[in-house]
Amino acid sequence: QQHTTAELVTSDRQLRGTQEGVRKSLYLDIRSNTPCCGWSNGTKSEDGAVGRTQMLLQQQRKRSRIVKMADSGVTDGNEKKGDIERAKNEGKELTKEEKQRLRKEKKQQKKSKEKKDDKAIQESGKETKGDSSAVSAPQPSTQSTAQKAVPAPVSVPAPEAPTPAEKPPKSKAELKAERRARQEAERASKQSKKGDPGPQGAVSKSKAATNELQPVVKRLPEHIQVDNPDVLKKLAKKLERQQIPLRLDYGYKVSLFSHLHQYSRKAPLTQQLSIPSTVIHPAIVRLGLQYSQGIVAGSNARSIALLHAFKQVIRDYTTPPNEELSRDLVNRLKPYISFLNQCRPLSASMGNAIKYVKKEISNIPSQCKEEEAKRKLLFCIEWYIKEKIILAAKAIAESSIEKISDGDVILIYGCSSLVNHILCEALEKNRKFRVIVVDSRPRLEGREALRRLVQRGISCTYVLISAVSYILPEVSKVFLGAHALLANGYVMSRVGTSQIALVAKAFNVPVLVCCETYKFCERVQTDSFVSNELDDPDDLIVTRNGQTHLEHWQQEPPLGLLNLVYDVTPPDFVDLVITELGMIPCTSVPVVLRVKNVDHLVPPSLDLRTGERTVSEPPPPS
Amino acid sequence: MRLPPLSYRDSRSSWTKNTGTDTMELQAVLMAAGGGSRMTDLTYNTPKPMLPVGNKPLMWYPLNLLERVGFEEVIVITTKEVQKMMSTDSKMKRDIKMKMEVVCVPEDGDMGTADALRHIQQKIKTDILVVSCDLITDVALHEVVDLFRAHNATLAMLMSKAHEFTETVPGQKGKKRTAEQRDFVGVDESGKRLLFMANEADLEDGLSVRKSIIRKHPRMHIKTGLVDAHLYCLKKAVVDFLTENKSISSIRGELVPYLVRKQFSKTTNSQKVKEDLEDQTQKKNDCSTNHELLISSRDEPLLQLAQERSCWNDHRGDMSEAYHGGKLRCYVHIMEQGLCYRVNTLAAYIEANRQAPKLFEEPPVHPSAIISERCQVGSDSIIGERCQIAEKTSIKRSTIGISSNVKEKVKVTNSIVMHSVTIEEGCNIQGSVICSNAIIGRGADLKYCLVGNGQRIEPEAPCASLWLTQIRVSAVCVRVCVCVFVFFYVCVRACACVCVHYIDGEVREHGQNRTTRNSTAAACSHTHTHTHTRTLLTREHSHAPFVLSFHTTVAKLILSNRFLHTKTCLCGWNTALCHHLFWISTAERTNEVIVGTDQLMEI
Repeated sequence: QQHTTAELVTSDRQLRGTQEGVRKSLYLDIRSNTPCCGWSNGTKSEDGAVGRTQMLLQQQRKRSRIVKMADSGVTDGNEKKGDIERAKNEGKELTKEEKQRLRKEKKQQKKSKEKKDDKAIQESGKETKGDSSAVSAPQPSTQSTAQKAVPAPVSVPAPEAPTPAEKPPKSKAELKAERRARQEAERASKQSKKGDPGPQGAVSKSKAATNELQPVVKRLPEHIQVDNPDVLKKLAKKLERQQIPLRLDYGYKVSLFSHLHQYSRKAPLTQQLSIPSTVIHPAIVRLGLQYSQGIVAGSNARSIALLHAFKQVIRDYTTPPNEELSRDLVNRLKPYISFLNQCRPLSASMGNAIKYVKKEISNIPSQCKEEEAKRKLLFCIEWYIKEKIILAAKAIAESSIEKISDGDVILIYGCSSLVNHILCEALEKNRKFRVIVVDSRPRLEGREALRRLVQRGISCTYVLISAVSYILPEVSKVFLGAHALLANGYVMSRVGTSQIALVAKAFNVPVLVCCETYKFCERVQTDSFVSNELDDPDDLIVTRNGQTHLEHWQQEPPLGLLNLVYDVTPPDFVDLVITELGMIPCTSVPVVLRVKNVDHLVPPSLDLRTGERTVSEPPPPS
Repeated sequence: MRLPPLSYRDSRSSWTKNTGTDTMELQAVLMAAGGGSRMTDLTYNTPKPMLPVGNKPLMWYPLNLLERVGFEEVIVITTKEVQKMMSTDSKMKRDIKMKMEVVCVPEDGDMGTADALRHIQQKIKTDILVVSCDLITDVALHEVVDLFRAHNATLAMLMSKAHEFTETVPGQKGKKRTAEQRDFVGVDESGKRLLFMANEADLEDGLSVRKSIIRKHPRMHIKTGLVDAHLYCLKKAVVDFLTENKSISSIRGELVPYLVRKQFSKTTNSQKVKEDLEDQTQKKNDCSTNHELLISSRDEPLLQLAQERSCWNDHRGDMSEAYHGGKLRCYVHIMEQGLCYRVNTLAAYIEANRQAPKLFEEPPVHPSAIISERCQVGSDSIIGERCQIAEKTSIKRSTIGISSNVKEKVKVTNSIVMHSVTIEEGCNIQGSVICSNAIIGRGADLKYCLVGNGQRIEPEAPCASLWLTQIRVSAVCVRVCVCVFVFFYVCVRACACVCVHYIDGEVREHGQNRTTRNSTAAACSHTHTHTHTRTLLTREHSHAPFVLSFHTTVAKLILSNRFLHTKTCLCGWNTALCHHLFWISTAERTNEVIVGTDQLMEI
């Protein structure tokens, strides 16, 4: 069943990549054919709308069919989905991850539905060519039914930022019709909200059903809903409460990524901060700057620097009177974290480190003396760095050296501190191998990796990612670092990694991902769209021979620059994940995560590594 | 260009206060004890920090800059005199809400800026931001501080593109005055890291750059035409280092070049030497000073670890790690746009007055000023409190100080009128600076003049306009004027004679205008001696021994004239002599010599 869901999600992610219109119509297709689904109680009444859009679908069917062909999972995806639903209703066999996936999907559907409705309005407007009355009449029904079907309270329709590149220009009459239709729809939706509790009740019922299964309701994180003004407003309010300035987004965003933040390096958050920073600890301010300017980059470096800053915060901390350390300190850290999150979105590894620190703080008993508590916390942080990062790297190096044999040609990508460490260790163990460093713009981190390796005396070749298929025939192994390992086995890493893995797969070269377990993340993600990071688009500007191209890109409305930071690599392309617990397949990530949840409870004084090993040593794949 | 308002500035729930610890991020130190030795004409009666610029004391500007960005406390290093004036100045009290901790330094003591830092060493708990009192700028201060923060720098400083002062300056030789000696500032490719620093005065024959710099930074941009704003972020370790190392007395002159040089010296970089140093700290004091500078954080190994893991590097092209493993780093932020003036010369003072209205949002005309309706006041003019401006006057591009009285039919253009000045009917004042308490007699016609503090210009006196000002007169006139001058100040006769001598020569060489302007301007202010020397030195140096003897005269004269900073001046001039001799033998740059000496004179 897990497999099915994954496939389904993949399919619609891939669709997303092709064309939005196609994707939306397909969603619709799926939904209209599966009235048994728990959340689409209102589908029947929606049939009219569906029928109408069916026409549109027909135009796009050709393309969508190609997409469908591309992954056959979709064609019978509907039934499978039904299965999942049934299973969900039947019992509690679903694992947490699956549930999460389902929920996420649901959200996605809701979101896309909203969008789709908008689109439908527009497109119908186009079709009827100015016949405004005809358009506005059926519209309310669509919208209201849509609202009924959506389980969550109605939010403002997704903000419309029509760009000329995306949508064809419309005539005045069309625009007018469109506007009227939207107004009507809004009114109708309000009425439906106020007026009939029926569908709402149904929704709450279905919600209750899910609640029974999983009491913890996880919301979509704020940082991937930037295009939702409500969420933004909430974020602004939260920051104001925490006395943290709001960092403004920069420049035009490529439409598919309008839900992510995009900041300019030239406008750091300190601009709005008082100079002897009073609200935020200086160590945190410094760290935030280093994050946003890329001085501290790479998830290991970022985690270490973060923990270092936390140490300073804890050292300078004194509990105010009438407060409890365990509670107050956690609250103290919260604004710091939202400050850092605005400097650069937190990495998964940092998220885990923060989680750990918070847990340790809240574990401190109230009767504990302050000095002692602080000492304990400092010790815990030290332990975390030593155990989870330094020793883990050592253990990974040890086991991965086994995989490096004499005469190997190893391909690495970007600059992973862990992979560099492994290669240096391997050299010290007198392995004879050669390294091919693959690099990509705009950061050209590979150069730094190259420097480190060459400095050690490893013979290297340096190519850009465009030459990867040329160079792969001579490669015997691909070593990749990771930003995070997701619960569904996907590897999140520097953008370009999945391309390398794909090409390596095509050339039948084994792909080994090295990753410490503290970077494992309970999130599930099957594409690089939903949750990602946008770097400063100005980084893409190049100056060559004294000429700066793209300098005034902001003044060209049809032009958008996309500087994506991460991508995800499906587990199919990854042969092995090397962790400090041993070598595991990607699919074992949930197991490790489950074990990890246990090990957090163990006091750090215990030797954990031996214990862990016995628990979760999955057989390495052949 | 105004700074955006800081919405979170007033938040009182700071981490420092909540926690009750003393640690702050930065402490501000304002250096306001300088004598203003390059504009002694103005600072004769008013100390430099209290000179009015746009009707606010000069030191209000840096204080305002600090307050605007969020400082709540500042340590002000100043003299007793200034402190007294500060406590009475209403503007300072009203506008500055920061907590000011005033530390006085002895006035006549030959105290440099670094000495002053050493003086307040007990008060310094953390990293410091040192600002000079004569800085007027609208810089986004976070740029400088961010460099300091992000790179964990030992020193971060502010520089700005030098401004061309286009206005004619009273008492100076038109365009010829290229006052500052050029600074050569070497930066790396990013334009942020400060690699090299040299002053023209220190160069004997050409610019030499050490190999250690070239090896690490093969590509260095050497910039000229920059003005050091005298705004420094310094690590606390530097202050500790100063207390150990007493030979350094000035920040700009000695400490900054030392730090910049030290970035590439062996002791700070190679790990081995450092360890050796640690062993020797007990034995040798010298080594401990070096060692002192290295300490930056308690968690050094952890930071090191993070840096090692980070895939960032500040340079490329060689095999060494980020920052070349150096622990001491100096950074500079170079302002490309915006205002940045150091009010340390008359020209800068005039320019600053002109730009001041752009910096604050107050109405240019103070509500308590009485302005008759039938007068023209340009929007680019500032009228101070309790001013009285009578009918038929016209004021353009000018500043009128507090409690000044401008009578009928007066025309004031491009001028600075300080406090409590009375301008009688029918005056025409253009491009002039009139110091406090002066009285300009009826019908006076002043062009490009500098009228000293408390001076009285006789109404319509045919001579008045001559001896007070540098009006364009013929050489004959000058002689007359000098005679008048001698008449009034018998004690400076010697000087005046020299002056006549000099003028003779000068007139022959350069034509009339410039010479006359200089010498007469000198006469009008009380600090004639200085200006005279300046004039003398600016001419060709064919009279080198003569100039020398003149110098000694000047020194004596200064003494007899109860000059404010007697001792300092003497020191300055003595060194000036040495410099002068040096310059005569080497370069054709007598013009700059004075500046060089002035720098030495400055506290």
